[in-house]
Parts: sequence; C-alpha cells; structure tokens
Amino acid sequence: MDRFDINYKGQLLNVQVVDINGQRIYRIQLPSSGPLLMTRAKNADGVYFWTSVPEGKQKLAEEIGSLIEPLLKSQ
Amino acid sequence: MCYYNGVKVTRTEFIRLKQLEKLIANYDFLSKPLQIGFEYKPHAVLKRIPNKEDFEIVEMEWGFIPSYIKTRDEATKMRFGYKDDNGIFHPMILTLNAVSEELLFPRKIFREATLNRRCLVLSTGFFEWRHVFPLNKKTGKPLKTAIKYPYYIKLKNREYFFMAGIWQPWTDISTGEHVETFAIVTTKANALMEQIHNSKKRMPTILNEDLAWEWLFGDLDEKRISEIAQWQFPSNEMEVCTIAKDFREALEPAEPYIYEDLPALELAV
Repeated sequence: MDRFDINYKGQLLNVQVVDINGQRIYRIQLPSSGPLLMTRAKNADGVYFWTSVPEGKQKLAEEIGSLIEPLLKSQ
Repeated sequence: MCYYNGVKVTRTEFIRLKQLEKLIANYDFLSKPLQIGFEYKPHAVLKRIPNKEDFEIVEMEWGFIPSYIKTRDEATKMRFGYKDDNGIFHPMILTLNAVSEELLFPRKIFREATLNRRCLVLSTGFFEWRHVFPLNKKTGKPLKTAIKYPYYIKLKNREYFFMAGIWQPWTDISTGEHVETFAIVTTKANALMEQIHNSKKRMPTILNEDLAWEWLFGDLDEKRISEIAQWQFPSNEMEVCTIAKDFREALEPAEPYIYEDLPALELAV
C-alpha cells in the first residue's frame, strides 16, 4: 500500500507512504498548499498519536490521521 | 518531558521526531541534485507560517505565475510563447528569476510578492554556462560563436544553502487547480560568477543564515528588502567545477568533468 486516496472534507487527497531510514512517513498532497508530512508517534503515556513533521500542523495531522488509520488497520 | 506539536512526549521520542525532521529535509527535494527551471517542476521552498517565526518546507512550482494569468493554458502560453489567431508570435515571458534591482518597481509583477511573500529556496548547488570565444587561427580575433562549458557551483562546507525567493499563490479559474509558484531573486555576479556566467553576469541571491532569517521573518522596509535582495555572496566561500555537457541526462549531474582546452578561471578573487 504505497499510495492510496482518502476523502477529506469532500476532497480526494492522495496519500503516499514512504519509509525513511526505517521510519514511516505519510505524505499527503493538499490541494491548497504544499504536501503535509506526518507520522505516528508515542505520547508520554505510551499512546500513539498522529503528528505533522515538522511541527505546526497538529490538528490537520490528527484529522487526516483518523482517516488513514482505519485503512491501515484493514490491511 | 518535552512537547512535540503540543503533545507531551518523552525525551527519546522528541529526539526521534527531531531527527526525522532532519531526515525529511534531506529527503525527496534535497536529494534531487538538479532542478532544470525550464521544466517548471516543483522545488523545495521554506515558507513562513503566518504571524510566527517559524516556517514549513513545501513544494512550489518554479516559475512565478502572475495574478493576471487566469488559466493553465494562459500560463503555458506565457512561459513558452505562442502564435495568436492572426499569426502574430508572442514571445515567452520568463519568470523563473526576478531581478533584484527591479523587484519593487511600481507595477512590476513581483512587487506585491516581494513586500508580502518572501521565501527561501533550498539548494545544494546550481549550474551555469560559461561562454568562451575561441580565437580565429588566421586572424587571432575571437570567433563570433562561443563554445559553452557548464559549471556546477556550490558553497564550501555547506550541504545546502538558501536563495532569496518570492512566491505567489495561483488558482486556475477554469479548473480550480491551486499551486504556489516562485521565482529566484538574482543579483549582480560576484567576481567568480562574473567569469562563469559571463554572458549575463548575474547569479542567484544566496543568503547567509542571518540574512536568510531576516528575508523570511523580518519586518523590512523597501530599502532593506533591496539591500538583501542585491547582496552578493562572497566568491571565496564558493566552490566550482566544470561538468559534462550532457549533465542534464547524467545520473550524477554534478560529477566533475575536465575540459583540456578550457582556459582556467581566475580564482584569486
């Protein structure tokens, strides 16, 4: 599953899965700006969360991450 | 404990994420050693996050599309020239580069972006052609046709560097396609670049880290914008080498290539 599409607020966004040095990055091509890069990280309580890399788009990363997650789990 | 994107994480996780940021910065955009402007491809650009002293690395299309261009078809005509219904040819308008001395001229297409949307273009190095006019063996005078030699230029001890840029959001009104486009600011060539890009004697405005910060985040008046835009990176901090003439097709376009017949550059500049 290197590439797939998600429906985000009525828009079809392409998601590209990239492994960099063994770490997984999700690259989402946004229609109104440049690509969003995000990954899964672990918070201080050991719970996974979605985060943008670099920082700055946390809310968007969480929203889009919640759409990607079911697709990954259904693999 | 540390915070990443506002979420409390362990120090180990924080360091991992910060390292990942660095990896990304080297990935995809920066790993491409050659960007050919005339292909109008995406390029890595540092864009300020509004009202913050922070930036994001985004892909923008190289080749500034002015706001008066309404459709992709019009943009293509602008970039490559076209013949109208009456058979009159309209030459291309190049917006890959923006001449620093003219950025703020009234009614110039770059003025508004220069005042409000400055950016930094990431580069690992760039290519330029040197024109050499061989001497006529009979008359001893230079021939009219130059032989062109390509050079690769990078900075000493720097894996990548910043060029001053300006950017423009643009939407095709017929399709809704939205892109961000940019132009690289150019300045008068320094003593080294004057010998290499000897046909136009220009070079990109390469900024040191302090000036790059100021260009991106500073609340600048027109005088200061012009000063930074016209700044010349010093020759003695640059490294150059000749490369193969077919470098565009080469796997390693920046690989040095020696031309036996090429007069040496004056490096004591």
